[in-house]
Amino acid sequence: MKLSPNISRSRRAGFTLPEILIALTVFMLLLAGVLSANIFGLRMFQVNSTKLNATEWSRNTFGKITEEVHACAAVQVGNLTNGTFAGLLDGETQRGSGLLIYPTTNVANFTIYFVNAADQTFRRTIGLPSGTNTVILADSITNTLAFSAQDFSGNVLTNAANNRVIHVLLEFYQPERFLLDSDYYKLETSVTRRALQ
Amino acid sequence: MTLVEVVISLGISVLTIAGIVTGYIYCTTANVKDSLYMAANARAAERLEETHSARWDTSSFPPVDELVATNFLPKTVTLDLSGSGSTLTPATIRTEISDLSITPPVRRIRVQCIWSVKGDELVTNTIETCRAPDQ
Repeated sequence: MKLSPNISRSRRAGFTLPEILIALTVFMLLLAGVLSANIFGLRMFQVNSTKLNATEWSRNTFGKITEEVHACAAVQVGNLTNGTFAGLLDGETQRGSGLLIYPTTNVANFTIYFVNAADQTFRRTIGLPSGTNTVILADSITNTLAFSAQDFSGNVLTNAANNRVIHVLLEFYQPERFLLDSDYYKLETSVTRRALQ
Repeated sequence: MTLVEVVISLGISVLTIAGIVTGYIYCTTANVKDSLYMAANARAAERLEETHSARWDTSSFPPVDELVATNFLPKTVTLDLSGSGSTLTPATIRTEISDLSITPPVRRIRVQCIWSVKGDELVTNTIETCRAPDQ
């Protein structure tokens, strides 16, 4: 039997099974490449986002602490227990979980930075005659004694020397999350009060 | 579609994907480097704060002068960086203190934080300030 010219032309214009299989394989390879690149990009975005957020946060927070300590009337290292700040006395090692800052000589106005060990948060409390206001600045803090008063060589003092350096150390641990490995890092800063009296 | 066309199109696709991935990696590297710059700057500022707490009192008797270079020897620190895992970037802090003027007494304090990117390219962050006695 002889095929008509029309049928013969249409058969010639089609794809064979091997051609389709090869085309599909190539398409799958391309798709896999594009998907891998996208997933890689998503992971990079997450990593970069974490780094940038941590950097921005540390600059903002430590910048604010630095400004407040530079300009304050008095600063004291101590511990916050049940909502009450207890400053460290002379003779005690000047290392604690809280930092009390008096911006002026009016003791009714104060700012306290402290680590709340119960929920591993780093907080800031502003005290005004009208009341107090506490905000959480960071979480996943693993160290409790975040503040210390040191001399210029970095030795922790045992008295409330006037020209001490306030050292802040925050250690973070974040467990593994979606597309992110667990992460441990620490942030440190030192600041000296400028307005010596 | 010939085999040559398929191979060429595949090559172009691979190049495109490689370009995208390289772009991502470059962004991440730039981000890490920038974060390290900020950390190095913070470390240098830390040392500067320490020099501010050193007593330099010319009006007392005997005069007190702790603001000398021998009190601020070079020390090795670690640059703070989130997301770095166990990879730590060490840095060396160097402090130079020199007299800018004797009368009135003013000293120049220069703090350098020296670190390296992936162990080869050395980077130095420098902060300078001036200080008079009893400040």
